[in-house]
Amino acid sequence: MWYVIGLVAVSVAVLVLGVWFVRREIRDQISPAPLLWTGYAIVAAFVVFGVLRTSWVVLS
Amino acid sequence: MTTRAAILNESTLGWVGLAGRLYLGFVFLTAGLAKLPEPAITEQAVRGYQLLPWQLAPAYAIAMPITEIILGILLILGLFTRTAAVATALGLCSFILGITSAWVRGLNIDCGCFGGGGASADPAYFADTLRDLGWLAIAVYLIVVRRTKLALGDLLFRRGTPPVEDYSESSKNTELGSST
Repeated sequence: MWYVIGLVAVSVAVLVLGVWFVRREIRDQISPAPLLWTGYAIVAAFVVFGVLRTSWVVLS
Repeated sequence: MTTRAAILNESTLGWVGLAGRLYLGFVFLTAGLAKLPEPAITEQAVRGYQLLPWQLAPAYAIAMPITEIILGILLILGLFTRTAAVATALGLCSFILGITSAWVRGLNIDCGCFGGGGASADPAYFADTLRDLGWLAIAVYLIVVRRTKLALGDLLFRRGTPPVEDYSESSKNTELGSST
């Protein structure tokens, strides 16, 4: 149970840091905003899937 | 003075990035090449984690080494470095998830990171997790640092700031925030 709680906490922190990172890249005009947000959405989907799948396996 | 310090700093970061890129690239290339000729053993290692659906293991056992080899080559060459570093970080996160979840569930398996895998009497979860966290730190550095030295991507796409000697006096003043 504690493993899943820790996993969710770390994942939320990673996703929040990802938003900060994308906003910084947009502000500094490193890449176009739609491209960066699309990339973020793909990464976030991967993270969420990984957390859900692992939590399911660990708890079941 | 400020500009020179910033450039020196950026240069140092770039060389550190090159070292990280080459190291991580060779790690991924080695891991992929070790697994590629033995898909049956890699499949057994993937199944040992009991995370993926049974039917997905054969496809994963083939796709993973190929992806590792591609990422390794991209990192070594410095081509699409930040994208490759993001993919590498995601891969490492999935490996860390697999190893730590196996640890928590009390499974006795070898990580199979460089070939082999499956049941093991003496799993090294702690060492494997620490090692992967170290590599993850390098991948995150490559994402954050933006540019590394001797990157093929810079040569092919020619992005970036002009050399210092090309700066006009007025643009130097603008960069330094001077209004004089």
